[in-house]
Amino acid sequence: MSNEAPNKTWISRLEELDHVPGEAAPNKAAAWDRLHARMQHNKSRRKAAWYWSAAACLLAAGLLPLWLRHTKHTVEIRTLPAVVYRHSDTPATLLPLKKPAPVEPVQENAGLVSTAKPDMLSAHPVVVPPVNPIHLPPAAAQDMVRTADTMLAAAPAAKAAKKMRVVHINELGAAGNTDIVYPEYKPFTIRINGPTGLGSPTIANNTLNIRLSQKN
Amino acid sequence: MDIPALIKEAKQGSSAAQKCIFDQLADKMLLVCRRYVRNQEDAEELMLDGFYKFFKGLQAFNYQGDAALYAWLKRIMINECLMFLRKKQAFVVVSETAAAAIPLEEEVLNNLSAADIFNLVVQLPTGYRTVFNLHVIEGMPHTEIAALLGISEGTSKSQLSKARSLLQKMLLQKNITYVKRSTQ
Repeated sequence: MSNEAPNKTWISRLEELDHVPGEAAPNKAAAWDRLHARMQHNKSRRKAAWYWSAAACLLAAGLLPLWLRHTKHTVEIRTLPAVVYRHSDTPATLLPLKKPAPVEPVQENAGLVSTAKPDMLSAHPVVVPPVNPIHLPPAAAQDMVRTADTMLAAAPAAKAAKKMRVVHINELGAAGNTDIVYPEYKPFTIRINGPTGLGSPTIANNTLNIRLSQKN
Repeated sequence: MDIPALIKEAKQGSSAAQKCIFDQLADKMLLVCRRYVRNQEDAEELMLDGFYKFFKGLQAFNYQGDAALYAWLKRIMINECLMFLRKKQAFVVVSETAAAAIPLEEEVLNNLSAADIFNLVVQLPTGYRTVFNLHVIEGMPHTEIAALLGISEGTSKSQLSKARSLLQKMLLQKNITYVKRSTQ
C-alpha cells in the first residue's frame, strides 16, 4: 500500500469515535452555557453599540442648531464692515467748518483746503478720510489715532507725527481775529554805547508788539 | 427534529435549535480539535470558538446534506486549531527536503482499535501530527498543506515522512508489547 493512497478503514474508524478515549465525556451542558453566554454577550454588545451610536446621533442633532447659530454669529462678527468714515464723522468736521472762514488772509493756502461744499461731502461716504491729517492740528491728529481701527485710517495717522507747524484754516476763526502773536517773536531792544551815555541810541526795537498775519 | 429543520430554526436565531445542533456535533468536533491540540481545555475552547463562528455564519450556509454540514463544521474547527497553533508557534517547521516515502503499515493500523490509533496520532509531535492529520486523515494535498501552514511542499512531505517513520516505531513497540502480553 502506498503513502498517497492510504487504506480508509482505520481513518473511518477514527472518525467514528464518539469521545476522547481514556477521558471522561466533556460536560456539554456547561460548554453550551459558555457558548450561549458568549453569543448573548456579543448580541448585547452589538445592541449597546447601536444605542451608543443612536445617542451620539441625537446629541449631534441637538447640538447642530446651536453650533450653526454660533457659527452664524461668528460670521456676522467677522463680516462687520470696516469703519466707514463719513465726512460728518471725520475730525475735520468737528472743527468749525460750518462757517466758511474769510479767505482774504489765507489766499496763499487756499489750495490745501477742499473746495467741495460740505453738503456734497457728507452726502457721499468714503472709506478713506478725505482730510489729510497732515493739515490737521496735533490735537485732531491725536483724536484720529485714538479712533483709528483700520489700517487705512492708521496709516495717515502715523504721518501726523511729523513736527510740522500746521494750522488749519478753520482754526483761524473770524477775519477780525486772525492776528496771532507768536511767542518766538519776543520783544527786544538793542542799544549801543555812545557819547550820551549807555545805551542811548537805539538801533533796534522789537517792542512794537508785532502782529503778524497768519502764515504757515 | 431533523438537521435541516434545526438549521432553519437556528438561522432564525432559535437558541433551542442551536443547542440541539451543538449537542449532536460537539463530541465529534471536540475529537477533531483534540487530534490537533493535545490539551483538553484548549481543544474545548477551540471547539467553542468553532461553534461560535459556525452559528455566526449560519445565515450564509446553504444546507445540502448532513455530510456537507459536517464537512463545513469540521473545516471551521481545523482552521481554528491551525490558527491557535500558529499563534502559539507550536510547530516551528524547519525547511527540509522531501524525505523518501516511508510506507505505513496499514494492515497493522487496521488491526488496531480506533482509540489506539487516536492515542498514537496524538502522541506525535505537533508538526508531524498536523501534517499527518491534514494529509492522511483529511486528505489534503501537500500544496494545500504548504499554503495553510506557510511551509514549502517539500517540508510538508518531509514532515509526513517523519511522522510515518515515528508511527512505525510506535506501532512496532505496541506490537511487541502486544505480542509480549499475548505470549505471557
